[in-house]
Amino acid sequence: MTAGVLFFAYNNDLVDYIKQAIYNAKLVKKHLNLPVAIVTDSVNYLEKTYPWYKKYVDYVIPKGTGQNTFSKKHYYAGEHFSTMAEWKNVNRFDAYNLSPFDTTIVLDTDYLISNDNFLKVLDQDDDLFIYKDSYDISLTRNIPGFERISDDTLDFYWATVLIFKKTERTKRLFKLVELIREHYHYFRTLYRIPLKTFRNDFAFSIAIHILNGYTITDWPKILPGKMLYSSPEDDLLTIKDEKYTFVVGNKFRRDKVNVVTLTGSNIHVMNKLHLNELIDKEFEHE
Amino acid sequence: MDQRLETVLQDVDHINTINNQKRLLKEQYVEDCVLYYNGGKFTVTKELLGFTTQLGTSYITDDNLVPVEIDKDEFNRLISNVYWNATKKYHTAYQELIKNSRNIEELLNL
Repeated sequence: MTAGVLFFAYNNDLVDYIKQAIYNAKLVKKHLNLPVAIVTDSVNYLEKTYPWYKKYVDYVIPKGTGQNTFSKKHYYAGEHFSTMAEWKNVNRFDAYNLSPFDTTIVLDTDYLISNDNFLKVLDQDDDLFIYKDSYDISLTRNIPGFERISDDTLDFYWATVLIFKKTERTKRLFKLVELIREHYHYFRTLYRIPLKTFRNDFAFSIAIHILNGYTITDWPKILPGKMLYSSPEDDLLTIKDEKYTFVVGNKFRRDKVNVVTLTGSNIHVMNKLHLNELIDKEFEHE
Repeated sequence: MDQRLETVLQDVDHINTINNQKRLLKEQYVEDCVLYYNGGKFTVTKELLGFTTQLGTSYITDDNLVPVEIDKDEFNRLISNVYWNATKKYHTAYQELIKNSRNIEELLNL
């Protein structure tokens, strides 16, 4: 039985997701010691820009998104800057067919690995592990929208991290996510989702609900702990020896700022622009 | 030190930063205390450790009240390992935090 990590990396005008995936692959090698595969539509760019990538990446899988037009979303660099760019991360359902592994850890490129806790679940018989609960880096903030996919409908599951085995049930799950993407307008109307942009988290939440017979069961299994994230409005100031230092974004701040440092905790860094800048420094010696 | 970081550090909410760092350690500790065993998910606590030593059967319910069959000796050994490793790591990080709590740069390990 093989196990490995799969990233989807589709660059847009603003964010180099391939760079993030390679940086994260380096972290995966260190903490999980597993093979890494990157799915991308820009293989030439990857090979030319990061010619040393094979140190950390075992498979590069060429694959387009299957779409020609994309909706735009806001990208933030802390609380004082945001801009719009295309969001192309729409074909996560391809993970089932594209993954070269029997057990696959699918990660967002900006979910940075800093410990080996995911290894705990690899030898279990369950076919899907996912995060349901989450917390953000600030003690004093309560960011809404991550408990249910809309005010009065389904529980929210994060598609940021998925650990799955190839079974008939997970095959159906990924197929259903594909169907939900194709008919997203119908499903977002049905489940009263305010966001027009397709979002993998919503699609997986809906698909899990349907496969569970429109109720809540003990499937899928929940990953250890809760998913830690930093908001797009948090400034990521420095990365040094896998230590991440943030200034917590707070529009209503009157005087003092809150600073957070993290070591040893996996974290979903939503400020992709700062992350991209800082990875450049990390890659200087590659 | 990074120039931007130096500027920010002149204006940090010290108490809030300490409390926040403590909370992050606590959440990481709970994550480290999780054990998956025979299809069940167990968050290892002092109560679980005490309970399993008194357990007369080989069946136990997990965090989601799903019944799981266990090999008692093996299960006890595993949960003890998980608990002591996680708690030792938590204690070390917590002591470091307390020791450095007066100085914001040391507190944030910068």
